[in-house]
Amino acid sequence: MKKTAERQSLLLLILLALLIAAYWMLRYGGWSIDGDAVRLTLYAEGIAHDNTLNSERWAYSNGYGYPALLVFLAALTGLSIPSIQFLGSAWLAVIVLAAYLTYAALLADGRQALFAAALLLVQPDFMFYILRSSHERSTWTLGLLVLWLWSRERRANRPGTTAAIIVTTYLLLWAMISNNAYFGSTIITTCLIGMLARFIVRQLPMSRQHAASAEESRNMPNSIPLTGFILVFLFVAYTYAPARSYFFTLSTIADKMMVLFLGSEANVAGTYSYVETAWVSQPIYLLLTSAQWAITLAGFAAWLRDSWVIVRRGPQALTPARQLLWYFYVGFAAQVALGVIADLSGALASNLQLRMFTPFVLVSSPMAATWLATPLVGAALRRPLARIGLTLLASCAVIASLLKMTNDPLVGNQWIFYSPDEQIAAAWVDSHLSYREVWLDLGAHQLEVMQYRKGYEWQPTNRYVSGAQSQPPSNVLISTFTLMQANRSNLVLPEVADFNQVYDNGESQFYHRPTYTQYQQ
Amino acid sequence: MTKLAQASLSLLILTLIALAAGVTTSQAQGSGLRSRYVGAVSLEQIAQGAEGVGTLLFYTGQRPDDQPSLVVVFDKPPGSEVAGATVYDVPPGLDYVPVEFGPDTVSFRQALAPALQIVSLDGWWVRDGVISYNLNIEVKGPIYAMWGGGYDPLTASPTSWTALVPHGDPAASIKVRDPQHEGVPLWDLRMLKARVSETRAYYRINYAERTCSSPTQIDYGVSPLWPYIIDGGGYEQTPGRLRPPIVVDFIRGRVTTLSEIVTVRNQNCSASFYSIKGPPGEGGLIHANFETPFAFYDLSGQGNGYPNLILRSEHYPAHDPWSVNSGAEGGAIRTAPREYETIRYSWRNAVGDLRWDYKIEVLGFQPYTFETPIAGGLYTIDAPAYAQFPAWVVDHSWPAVTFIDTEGNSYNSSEGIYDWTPRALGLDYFFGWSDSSTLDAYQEITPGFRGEYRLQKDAPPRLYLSPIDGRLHLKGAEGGLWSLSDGLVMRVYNLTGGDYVDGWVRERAASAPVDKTPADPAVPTATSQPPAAPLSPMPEEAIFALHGYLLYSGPQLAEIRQVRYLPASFEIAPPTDSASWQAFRERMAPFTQQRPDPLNMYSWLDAFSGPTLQIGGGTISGVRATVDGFRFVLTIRPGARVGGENLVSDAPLGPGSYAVTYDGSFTAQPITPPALHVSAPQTGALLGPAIENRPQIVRVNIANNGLSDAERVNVTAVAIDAAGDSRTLGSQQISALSDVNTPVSFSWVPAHPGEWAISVTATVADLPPSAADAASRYEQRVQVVGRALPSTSAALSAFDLIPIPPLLGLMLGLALIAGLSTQRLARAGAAPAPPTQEKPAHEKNS
Repeated sequence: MKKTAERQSLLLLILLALLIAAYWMLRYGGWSIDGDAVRLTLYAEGIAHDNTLNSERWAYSNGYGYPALLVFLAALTGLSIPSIQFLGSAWLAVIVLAAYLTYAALLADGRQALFAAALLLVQPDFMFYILRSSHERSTWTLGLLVLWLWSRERRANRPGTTAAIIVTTYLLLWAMISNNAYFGSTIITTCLIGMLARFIVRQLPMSRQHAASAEESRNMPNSIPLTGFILVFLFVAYTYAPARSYFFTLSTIADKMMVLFLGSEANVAGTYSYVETAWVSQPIYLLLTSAQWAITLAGFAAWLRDSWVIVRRGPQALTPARQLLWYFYVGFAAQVALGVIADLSGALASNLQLRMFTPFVLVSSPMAATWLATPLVGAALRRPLARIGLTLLASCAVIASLLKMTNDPLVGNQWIFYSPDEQIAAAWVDSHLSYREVWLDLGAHQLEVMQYRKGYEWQPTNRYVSGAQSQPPSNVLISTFTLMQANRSNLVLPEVADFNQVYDNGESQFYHRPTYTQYQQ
Repeated sequence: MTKLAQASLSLLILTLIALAAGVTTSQAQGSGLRSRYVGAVSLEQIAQGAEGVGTLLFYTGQRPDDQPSLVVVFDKPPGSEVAGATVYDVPPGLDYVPVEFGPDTVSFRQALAPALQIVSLDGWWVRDGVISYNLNIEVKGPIYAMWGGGYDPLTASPTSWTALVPHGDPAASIKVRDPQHEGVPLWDLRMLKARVSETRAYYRINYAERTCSSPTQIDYGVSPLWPYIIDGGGYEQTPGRLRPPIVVDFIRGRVTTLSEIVTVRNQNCSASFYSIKGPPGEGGLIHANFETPFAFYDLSGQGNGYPNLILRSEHYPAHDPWSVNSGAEGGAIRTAPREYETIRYSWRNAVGDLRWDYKIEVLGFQPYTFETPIAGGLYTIDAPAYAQFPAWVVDHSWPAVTFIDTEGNSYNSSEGIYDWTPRALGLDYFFGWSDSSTLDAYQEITPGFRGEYRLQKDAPPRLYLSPIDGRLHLKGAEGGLWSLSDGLVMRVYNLTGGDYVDGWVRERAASAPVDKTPADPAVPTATSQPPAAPLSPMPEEAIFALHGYLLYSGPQLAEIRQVRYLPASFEIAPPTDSASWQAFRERMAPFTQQRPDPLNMYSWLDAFSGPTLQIGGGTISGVRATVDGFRFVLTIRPGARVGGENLVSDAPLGPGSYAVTYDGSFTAQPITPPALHVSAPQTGALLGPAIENRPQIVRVNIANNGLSDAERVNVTAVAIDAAGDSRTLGSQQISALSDVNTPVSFSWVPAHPGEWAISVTATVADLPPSAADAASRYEQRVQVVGRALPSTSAALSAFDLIPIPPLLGLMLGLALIAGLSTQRLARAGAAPAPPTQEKPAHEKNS
């Protein structure tokens, strides 16, 4: 592929990424927010308000990097932090660019790199985490850049360049750790597992027949695991107190190990049973994510193919860059596998949800893209009908991806949008009641939206609850969205048949339970 | 001889050198413990405030000089107004403190972390036999230095938070003051410094202030010249003795405990508090929670180390993390919606001796808005002041109050009487989270004790003496229990819901029925529908005082006597100060000597005279108040002797059972069995439209048209769909009193749309179903509509958040760009593979 054509294709991909980001922002007219995004916004507002990275009420336990970046951008642009969070979805284009750079270095082929970067845009479980305004957009950008520098370092010939790359790598690694120490540690764990894999590979008979070249010898950064974990330790133990507190709140060694090595994060939702209630049906869910699973399978198949080559002909049969990709794949895949096993076995005391799929996508996509270089795929693509079919498939995959990542009400039950009238009702409740228990929603969404809109300084006096309660709540706010969502998910709303309806704005109704004892208010 | 002389000379020289160097050795009291002092200034001078440095070392057994068990280093720099002492115990990994000696100095062979750093603000330690208790103490390491910490002497190891403190780490900071230099400290303030999880309910502030004098002997411990150390002991001081605070296990060479210096419980009077919350906020204001205040008084003025009034509070601000269960890991899930407190108010009608006569315990929602100075004005606290606290409790209204009369059977307790806290009713009920509560906690009481509760009325705690039983009662009490001997209990009732109890029933404890407030929120509370006295098992004796009549029922006879009586002989408040305590004693004196016998209740009637109906062989049961009087069931057995005036009927009373009602005059009707009738309100049993998967309330009324009360009625609701599948909505057991409508409700979530039949059945539990079934069923057919699902257009527009055409346009554009990109990439992929920028490694090598 000519450079010009490659550049044009890259621009087209960036345009596609920007349009996807625009779709994300406009799908609900701007009236949508995700829980993690709310918290990150509040962490940033906390930094701005308290003038400290460790703000009093809202400090992100895993790292200050992303909230601090938001504060910096807000100060630079004059925009509010929520605005930056909202517009920041356009960062998807930067991720595409970073991915292209990294993949070009790893695959040593521009068109495969473009194809791999394109594959990212049809994987909704990757895009959701990038678009939803959480730290992962910058964390994984930094992760990609670290991988890119590692692959560049391998080929650097001048000591000065090597030194610059090493320094930059550690700076990026530190930035990544400060973004999220426990996600940062996963990339270090990847490196550790990769080194282990390389050691095993070198024991193979075919490997022993060939002395490794200097470039090959450098194809896994040996010093990274040790130095990296020292950086994580320094960050957790000495740099950022909330990270240390979080680490020590984990009650079991298993939890601590999982957080440290698998980058897990506490989550109340069950990872696997969640699918059953979150989507209108399981087939729909599978259909929406079929492209993602196809890419994952293709990546795995490519890895098996390369593994076969390594076993038969030794690692030297692959280019050093491909070897690096192979090792990275092993590293990330091993963490995904361990995480799934830990999740399913219930080894984690605090129900930590596996969050490794996002970084795994970053290596499974280029691995899948390597099929492009095979004669069989090349021959297939020479047929116009196959190209048309692929084009149609890609268009459908993008649309499916859009529906999935936005939790579209056409297909999903976990809605991320909200209505202004709903929030007016919630604000009314908040200002007219104090020290009460108020049922707000089927999940945490309404409360998160309230927190987002009211900002860091809001300290509710009421206790807001959601979902099924062991004791019937005395104050209940039910909006049309909540009602429809309950109907859709076949969930039972709180019993309000004998309650007094004391507020109604057309969209939301507030109910108060009559009192039956002198202690009720 | 020469050798002996040389040896003697050497010994003499060594002794002289040692004396010159200020080395003294002494055998401390207690077996096997000795001490040695090294310093240029003598320990006597150091104790009296001389400037200089010195070291006091303690040894057990035959330890060599360089292996002491404990070392105290004194230091008072020239010109300093304060004196310092640093205590070192055995470091981890050793069984001695590693020291080495210079001519008149002692140094450590390795860096050691101190266990205690003590500063005497007086600049001296002991002067004229008076010990300095103007101290600032920093406690470091695993030392039990605050209430809530711990040390287990059996395992010789710290417990609770104490076990979490590494050797040398901050544990607690203590300030003790004795402004008058009495040698007995005035106050003792402790703050937790240990780095413990914020989610643990450790006490973070302890405070104790001596508020009156107590006879106290001073214990100088193992070293009278520095009398702060004692060999073994616990955290609490004991009455009448002030022990040195530094408790040492000399065998192990460990400071185990820094005990109370001002004791909370073991003196005549103290103002104290234990707070989980800490440290002080802005301006030194402490918003303490938990045991705040914890106040001890000697109202007799003659105490000999024990208080005779104790107020133990438990107070929490709204939303306090410890407000619901202070012992829970990670705090409570739900927190108190309101500021609240419980206060246990126990007093003795004599000089304090750890035994108690009475207690009231209140629960309420009074805010703490005070700024009470503590610790000599160093801090303020938002709790009521010590001197005003008893009156503050007694004068305020409280929604829940319990009362205990130990009837002379008190157990020993340094914290008052524990029985029958109002909290036992359940915080869920007091916080309004629950509509009902169980009185299970008030079905038992310490043997010999008599208890009463008032949970439905907001009023100050007042007591009165009932002329019926000659005992103190809680005004407004709704019920009570007295644990008598031989497995007997006396249940006390307030059938009319007024201020005074009006029913006494003595029965066997094993047969005690459980009295519960209604489970159904729609059922009125006890004030409007008082509970009936138990029908089963048959009480041994009972007396009811209602509307000028005394009703007596005993094993041999029943009696109805028209009398004149006052509901209360007198009213009195719990004592709040010495004067009111004295008045209380004097008022009660005549009644404490001779009290009516609970085992002979018939004798209680002796004090009252009037027209009497006496039925030998008759019983009275099912006594309850009605809107304008009362009713009961009078059973006259065949052969019964009816004597006196027939107060209840114009006609002669023959054998049989009668429902007797009084509403200004008596009516007696032959009893009829319960006759249940289930009906729905005019609008039907459902409160709203029936929608699939939406909670619905099914409400019916149960009427009993018979003259017998039905104590146990089973009510069951069932929903049956068109296919005949039935779902039970629930079953409840209620009481259906004669001539009273009882509402019952059930929750129903229709599982699917369509026609459903709701059926509610009420059955008297003790009767065969066939006897009551016919009149006790209600059925209603309802149409359940399906739940509304969002339409496609509503979902697409996200319920009108965004217009559909531009959305579809954007989606289409995206698909086109994606298609275009794919087309370009596919074309590129179709082209022959370009030469790779990188070759396989083996090709490079070759």
